[in-house]
Amino acid sequence: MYVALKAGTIDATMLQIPQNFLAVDEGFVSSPPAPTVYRAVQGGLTTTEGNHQRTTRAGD
Amino acid sequence: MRIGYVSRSILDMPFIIARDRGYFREEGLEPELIFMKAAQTIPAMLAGGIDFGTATGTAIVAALSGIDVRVVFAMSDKPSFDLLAAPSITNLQQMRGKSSASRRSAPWPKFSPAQIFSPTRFRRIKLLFFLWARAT
Repeated sequence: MYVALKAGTIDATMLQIPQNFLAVDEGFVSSPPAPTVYRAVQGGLTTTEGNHQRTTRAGD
Repeated sequence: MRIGYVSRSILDMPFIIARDRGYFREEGLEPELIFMKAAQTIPAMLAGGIDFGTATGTAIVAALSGIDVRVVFAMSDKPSFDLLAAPSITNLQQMRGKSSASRRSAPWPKFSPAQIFSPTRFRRIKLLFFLWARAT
């Protein structure tokens, strides 16, 4: 989508690190900063409830 | 221990660095990192193919649907996405009637500009969906 933005096919899009920084360096504008508009949990670790209970007990 | 990771972005990079630099080993862990699509992490965990996945958004959506998964920890509580616009657009009002693009397959609907702007008066943004193709 960064390519589409650069080509002018679209006027705006959501970009992630590092493309958001690269886009700003190339003159595109970021407005407003996403964290001021919405919150979202990203990245980390997920597992099943069963595995979580097993690993938690093993760690005790 | 097998961990299904879903991107080579900054969000999953700590796992790769920890493996490559031996940080896991220092903690007595020898995880196998398996690259897979986010949507595959849930069935893979339920089937026992992997122990952990890194697709938190997918897991939250699955948990809300009643699937027995949970998020152990989150790498960030702030979005790593920003809305980038053409230089001629200097404020949100100017987005009216403009076209934007979003990943159709994004597990988090909030990554969609349409969702971000839906509570606002900027509802006339044209939203294009691009099919997401991942280079593997």
